[in-house]
Amino acid sequence: MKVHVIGTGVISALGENSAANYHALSNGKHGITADSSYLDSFVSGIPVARVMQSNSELAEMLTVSDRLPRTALLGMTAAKEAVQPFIKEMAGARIGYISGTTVGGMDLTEGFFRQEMKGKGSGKLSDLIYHECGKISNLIAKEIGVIDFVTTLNTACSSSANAIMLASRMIKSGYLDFAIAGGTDALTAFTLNGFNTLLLLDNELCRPFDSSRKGLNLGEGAGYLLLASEKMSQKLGIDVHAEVSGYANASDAYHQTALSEDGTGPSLVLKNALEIAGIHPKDVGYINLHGTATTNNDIAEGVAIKKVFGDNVPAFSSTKAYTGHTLGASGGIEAVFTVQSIVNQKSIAALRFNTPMPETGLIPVTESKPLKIEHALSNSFGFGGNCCSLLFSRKH
Amino acid sequence: MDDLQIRGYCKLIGGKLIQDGICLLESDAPFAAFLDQVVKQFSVQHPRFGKLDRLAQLAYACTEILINKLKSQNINLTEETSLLFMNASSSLDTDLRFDKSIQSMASPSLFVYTLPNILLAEICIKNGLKGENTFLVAEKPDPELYLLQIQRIFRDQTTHICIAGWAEILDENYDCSVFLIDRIKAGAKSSTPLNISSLNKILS
Repeated sequence: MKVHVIGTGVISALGENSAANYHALSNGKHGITADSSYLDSFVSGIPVARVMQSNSELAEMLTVSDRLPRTALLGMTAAKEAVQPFIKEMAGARIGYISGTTVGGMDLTEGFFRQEMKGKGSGKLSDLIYHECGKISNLIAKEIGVIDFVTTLNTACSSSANAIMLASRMIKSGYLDFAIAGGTDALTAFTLNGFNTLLLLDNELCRPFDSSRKGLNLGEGAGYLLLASEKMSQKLGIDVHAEVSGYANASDAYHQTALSEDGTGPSLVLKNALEIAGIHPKDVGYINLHGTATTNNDIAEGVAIKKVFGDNVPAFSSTKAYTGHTLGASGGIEAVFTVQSIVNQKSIAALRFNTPMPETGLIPVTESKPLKIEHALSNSFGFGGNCCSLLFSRKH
Repeated sequence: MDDLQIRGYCKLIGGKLIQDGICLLESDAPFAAFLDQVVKQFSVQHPRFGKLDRLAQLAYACTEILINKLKSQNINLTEETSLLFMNASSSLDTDLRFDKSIQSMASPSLFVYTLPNILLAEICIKNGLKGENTFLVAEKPDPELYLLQIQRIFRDQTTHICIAGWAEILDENYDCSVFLIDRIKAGAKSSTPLNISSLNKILS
């Protein structure tokens, strides 16, 4: 059973829907324009990619309560965009909502503690009820009306890529007819402090795969694919964007927060995703990199790409230079971008690239230009060495 | 449900190293010096033992000593080995150290150990284990909880061996017990079947 992508939904610093995001990508316009100071973290003045809308603006657009965690509001916006056009057609089918998130309701939890520190009992306990990652999924699933199967994955920055992999496998094996799969994460002081402690933040704009890169910029957002079994998409005569033709997950088993220098995990998932699909490396037209712009990630990923593709490295770029690193949402958001690059048969330009890394000499595609893309990969690597690669193929 | 058995245990508690009921080392030294002695005397190998936090060091050393002993009895780990660890204080011992480090410069090397389950990864990576991992936080070692969880783990037929343990440290108070469980072969008899009383003996 083939797995088809029949819809997309995304919200990021680039805009509030798929079209706005793709418009910014094709015009080389990034969204890393905010200053971290508003997050009340240990570090201020660091660039972050913030979604323009406030919580109350998102809540108003959605007609829901603005007391919900930002992660849920972002997720609802993107998931609704993906599902809305097909709500009627999907009635009566088995629908799953599979989502990745890493911060859950942390923004409200932080608000609680800020208040509570002023005096015992002054924090609102009700702000803690959405803290857990799974609560976010339940809120979103309820809002979009999915009740058949709901689950949450947290494998750090590969969470939502793994969500798409799980959803595809469930459709393939006949457990689901449709799935909304991807992820959502809001910016919080918690993640900014954590990445700052690990010395992984750049205080300038990030430069993926460039030899001068110093670290990542954090972002926020949500991205979902609406997946359908081939049987369903044929029966309903739905327009298919692309096919999920391959996926793979592997552990790097090296370090809590760093990839192995020889890119063991990344090269395993690239190789295995191609193998599952039965596709030769030379037939891949584009790779949407994990490309965080940390010293360590880009070397490991570059080494892995060279290992798998040899001298025939396809066009590649990192869209984190546009959206920042959206953590648990990045796999979902970038899956949408990868599908869009297939649909439009166009590359997405790497931003702020000047000099290749001496370790690999790899040069990303720096123009948004027409490109024959039959197959495209989307990489997501998480802390703990959890690596995932998704392969999407053009639908003729 | 297959019948399960305990194949040996190792304990590091209050300056004592106890293996299968026999005290092999006793010392008045504080934790760091005691562990140093244990590591040297029982040739605990790890490429960067000094970089692990105290909780991971404790659990790792105790597990290695058990594994080495069992190897000598021809009981070898397979890839399908699962891990089940518990403690009471989670990673609080390292959390407090990390909190102190924030006053000057937050330490990345301490930060990555502000989760208790990191110790599972250290054991898995060293031994190439790919089974299921569980880390639970409980007030005290509860034999019934261990029994329930171990039975759950073995319900998955791919698990052949489970390494279970209690790994607790906060300042100078530490208490670590690690034991290995596998299935009793059909028709065979075991001297230490897995049950509440055998668990009680190890965990008390």
